[in-house]
This record gives sequence, C-alpha cells and structure tokens, in this order.
Amino acid sequence: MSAYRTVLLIALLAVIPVAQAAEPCREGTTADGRCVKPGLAQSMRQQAVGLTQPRLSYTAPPLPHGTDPIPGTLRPAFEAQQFAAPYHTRLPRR
Amino acid sequence: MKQRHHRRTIALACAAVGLTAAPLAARGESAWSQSLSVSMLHYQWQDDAGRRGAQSFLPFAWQLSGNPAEALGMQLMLRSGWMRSRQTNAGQTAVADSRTDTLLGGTFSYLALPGLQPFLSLNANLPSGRSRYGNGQAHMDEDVVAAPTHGEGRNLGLTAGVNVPLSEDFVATAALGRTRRGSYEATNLGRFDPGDNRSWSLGLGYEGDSLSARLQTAHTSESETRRNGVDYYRAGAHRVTTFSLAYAWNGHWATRANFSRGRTEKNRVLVGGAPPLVEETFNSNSGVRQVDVETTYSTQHYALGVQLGWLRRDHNAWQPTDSRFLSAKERWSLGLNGQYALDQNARLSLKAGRIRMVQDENPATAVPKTRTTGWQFVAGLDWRF
Repeated sequence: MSAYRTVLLIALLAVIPVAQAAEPCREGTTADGRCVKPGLAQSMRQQAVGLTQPRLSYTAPPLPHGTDPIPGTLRPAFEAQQFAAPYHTRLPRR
Repeated sequence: MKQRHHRRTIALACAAVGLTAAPLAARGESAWSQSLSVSMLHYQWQDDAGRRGAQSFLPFAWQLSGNPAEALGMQLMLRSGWMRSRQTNAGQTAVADSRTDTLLGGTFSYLALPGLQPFLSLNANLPSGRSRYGNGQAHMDEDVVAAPTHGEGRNLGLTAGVNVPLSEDFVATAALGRTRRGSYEATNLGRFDPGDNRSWSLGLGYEGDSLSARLQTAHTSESETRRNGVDYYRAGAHRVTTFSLAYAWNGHWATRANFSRGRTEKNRVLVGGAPPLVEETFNSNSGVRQVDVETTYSTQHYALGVQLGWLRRDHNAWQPTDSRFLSAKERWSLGLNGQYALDQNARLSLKAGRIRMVQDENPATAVPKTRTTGWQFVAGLDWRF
C-alpha cells in the first residue's frame, strides 16, 4: 500500500516544474491559415471522445473534471438496474 | 491477490504517466499546463415510503496539456476517487465504502494540416473500485446520486476523429469509437461480462464574442452481455443528441443552457431464462430528456449563479426478470453555486442544490406515486499550474 502511494506521489511530483509560454495556433489553423480558437477545438474534441466512449467508466469518464456527461442520456439505465437494487424498483415497501 | 494486482497495475500506470510527462515538461519550449482538481460531492435523499440514502464521492483528476512538438497536441489524464454509499430501507441499512475505478488516458492531435486536425484518444478504466458489495441495497439510482456502483471491469476505449475548422468561429467534428469492456464480479449477478461498444459521433460548434453553441449527436451499438459465461442480454442501440448554448449578456451576466435527449432501441433478452436471446416485447430502456439552465453573475474574483434542471424518463424501464413495467419519472432540481478565485491559478467552487423527483403510480402493480426529495452538495478546488 505504501509503495503504491509512493509511486503515485513520485509520478505526480515528477511533472510539477512545467514551463508556460504562449503559443500561436496551438490548436491548428483553418484552411486559409487562421488560428482555430483553442477552447472551441478542445471542447469539441473532448465531447467527441466522451460520446464515442460512453460506457468506459461509471465513476471516471474520459473527460476533464467538471465536464462529465449526463449519465442518464449517455447510458441506458438497464445495465445498472441489473446489478443494483434501485430503491424504487426492487426493495420491499415498508 | 486480485486487489494487489490492481494496485500494482495502477501504480505502474501512474509511474508511466510520470516518466512520460517529466521529459516533456522539462523541454519547456512549448506551452504546457497542468491542472489538478479535487472535489467533495455529497448526495442525500429520502422518499415518502420511508426509504433514504446518501452517497459521498471524493474524486480527483490530474491533467497535463501541451505540445511535445509544434505539430502535435497532447492531453494526459488521470482520474480516480473514493466513494461511500449508504441506503436504509425497512430498518435495514447497507453501506459500501471503497476507492472508485481509475481512469488513465491520453488524447493526441495532429495540428500540421490546415483545415483538418485529426486526433486519437486512448483511455483505460482500471478496476480499483469495488464492483460487488452486499446484496445490492447500497447501489442507488443514478438519477439521484453520482454513480450506481463504485467499480467495474478493466475497460479500454479508443476514439479516432477529426476536427474540421470551417472558420475561426465554427468547428465540425466527426469521430469513431470502440470500447472493449472487461468482465468483473457484480452484485447479484456473479461473473458479469458487459458487451463491447461501437460508436460514432458528429458535432458542430460555434464560438463568437458573446454567443457560443454546440450541437452533437452520437450512436452506440453493443454486443452481447454474458453472465457466468452464458449470453444474458444484448442492449439496444443508443442514440443521444445534445445542444448547449451560452450567452454573455454583458461583462458580468451570462446564461448557459443544455438540452439532451437519449433514446435506446429494444434489447434482446432471455425468455424463460434460456438462450437464445430474442427481442423484448416492450422497450425496457426509457427515453430520457434533460434540460439545465444556469445564469451567473461574475466579477474578476468571484461568480455566483443559480441553476435549474429538469429530467424526464418517459417510462422508467420494463423489468423482464419480474415482468414489471415501471412508470414515468420526472426530476426537478434547483441549485445555487459560487466560485472564488484564490489567486490567478486556483479556484474554489461551492454548490448546493435541492432535488424533487416524482415517479408516477403504476396501475399494473398497485404501487402508488412515489415522491423523492434530496440535497446535493459540491465543494471543489481547481488548481492550474
């Protein structure tokens, strides 16, 4: 357990000293050579990844924190109902 | 033994991320940024039949973004967390407490082609969370809590796509994806081997000075799910469409709205508990619609907002195992949220919301209308460096 934590800590600390510099066209260019807006390009790409891997993980989808998809619309409820006992479906009423 | 193997896998994966990222970060000639997010989510609910539950979720995420070469963009991501779920019914309480699964992934974009930016994304769900606990009572409805389970199997997802910037303000996106899902021990089911997925998505995004919009649609099909080595069901193809709109009224006020609609075709299921799988008579997958609207007032240092949400399932699933049709469900939520910039790179966010959910009465089983009320609290810290 302690080895796991140590490796995790080292992995995270290893990448802390990162230089930052402005970079023109960091998401590429349009056909006529103008810069693509980074926020627009990134969000479209991230959403495409989330939508094409919709059942990769219940607890950690492949999207940045805080931009998680809406679970109910991406994944049918049927699977979760198989192993869960949703309070409104299977538990006896008091 | 298996837990130890999973820990070793995750530790090696973390080390691999570190070893890959360190030399890239050390180059320093390109723009690189890291972000670390830690949140505390707490949900609690009760219904008018005396049942109640709560879930606490502590997720964290680390992300490294940058350009290892001028023509290559890269994002690496690690996500994991800890979760506690508790549900009480008829005087009996079930509790589950464990780490959640861990996501390790990377997305790579080729940026040298004018008007065309292809990308590849490879992600893995590593099974560090518990997938089986108790008799299922600690698993809860994902319309009320963050997640219905703490863990599942070792899943691998691959997406290949392309961004096509039509102009500075418009980007179209197309992508194909494949997710291979590993088997795991599931509550109530034994060895559960969920079906693999194939997906495609199309999207169009706009970002102007004060208005931004995104329209996206996706289709996912799934192979057979097996239980204890035998075909169990095959989920119907799923289609989802989302539309989001954000408008800045002035330098302080902004409104954002998200609309989404999901629809799943009929499953193929066992009849009489024996193969082969046949198409079910009723569609056991509910159609779902969701709308969220948020208005925010922000200054340089803080932001305050109010959020209203609505979700409706047209019917809340047909249970082929006990031949029950479950009635429609509607959920309303109202929340207040705030953000405070601790400094240029760190942001604290708080949110509190009230939910109210009504499931219609079911004449077939004489189950009366059920009302559920609950609270959602979120506290988060985002740090960019």
